[in-house]
Amino acid sequence: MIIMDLGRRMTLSYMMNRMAPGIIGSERSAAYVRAIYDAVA
Amino acid sequence: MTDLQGSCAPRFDAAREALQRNIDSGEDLGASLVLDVDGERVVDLWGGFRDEARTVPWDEHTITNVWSTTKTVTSLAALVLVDRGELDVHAPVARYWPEFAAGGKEDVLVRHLLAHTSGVSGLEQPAAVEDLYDWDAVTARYAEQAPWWEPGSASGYHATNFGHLVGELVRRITGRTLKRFVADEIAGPLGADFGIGASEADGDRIAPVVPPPPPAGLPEPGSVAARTFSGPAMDAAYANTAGWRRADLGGLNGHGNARSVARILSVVARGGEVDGVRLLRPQTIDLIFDEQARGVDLVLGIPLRWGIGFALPEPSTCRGSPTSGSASGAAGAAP
Repeated sequence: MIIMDLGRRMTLSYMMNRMAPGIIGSERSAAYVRAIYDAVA
Repeated sequence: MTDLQGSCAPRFDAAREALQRNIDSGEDLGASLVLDVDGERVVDLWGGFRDEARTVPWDEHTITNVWSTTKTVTSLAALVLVDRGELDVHAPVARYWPEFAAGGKEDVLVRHLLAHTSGVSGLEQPAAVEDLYDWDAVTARYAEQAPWWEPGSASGYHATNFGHLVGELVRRITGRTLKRFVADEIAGPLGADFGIGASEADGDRIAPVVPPPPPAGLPEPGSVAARTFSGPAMDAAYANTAGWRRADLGGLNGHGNARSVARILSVVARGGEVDGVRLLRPQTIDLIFDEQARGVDLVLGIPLRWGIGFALPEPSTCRGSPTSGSASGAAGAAP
């Protein structure tokens, strides 16, 4: 997962080896994104 | 149990704890997580294991197959050529790749390839994963195909061929393969431990992928989704083979880790330049936000919003991140 947030000049990246079902993200990636955004909001 | 390595600013403890929990529970086997804020890596964590037997730790220099994140680097490669005036996103693909005009595709534009709206979202049957390894043969087949829907009218995720379509533009313009171009013009100058494919020398740094459980349902036979997911049918275990790692799959087989991918894509987040390496001008970055498609993607079946080269914020693509009133302009990216 890679997200570029231009307004915050911020790049968030998560790379792993145990693939989750689905093509677009997973519960795991969503949890990390949420935790990061909770801290920068 | 294994403790995460690396560093994490205290205000991001919740993210660190979430990653630690998932590694402890086995939800994550091995993983890396990075947050770069304008060049400062305020989160730079890795941990867990490279192997399912949990004998080899995931270390600082571990790399893995990053699947569709590869597409974002391929898009960046195209934008580098746009920035240099060598590629026009509004030009027909056939201007650079004349054979692509076949099958009624003379009006398909470069931006259609970069936004998954070209109508060529997969390979006609018969299609095997190994077909993707033979660049000349498979790109010739894509060039011959008729579009599976009206180009430009909707997106249909170019799941397995995004790198071939965009990469053939790179090859025609520069005379270099996509993987070579990315190494020479992006990963090399930025000092990022990332490549499309992986060399044999890197074999002992690679964390093999653990394939996901099979999907719950199959798409409607004959639909664009069914044709895409069978053109070719992807088995994630291919990523652990030598043939896959040798291939040039700009939609699928990038190898890197959170640190190297963040390093590369921070170019977009930071106005086009990182540590004196300028790849894009601001006006080129603006193209990313020129919306090309908005609606239910014909392949993935979920609402997506595509700019030129990258997904734009939608609840389905940037889960967990703010998506409303995005004056901040988050370019979410990596389906």
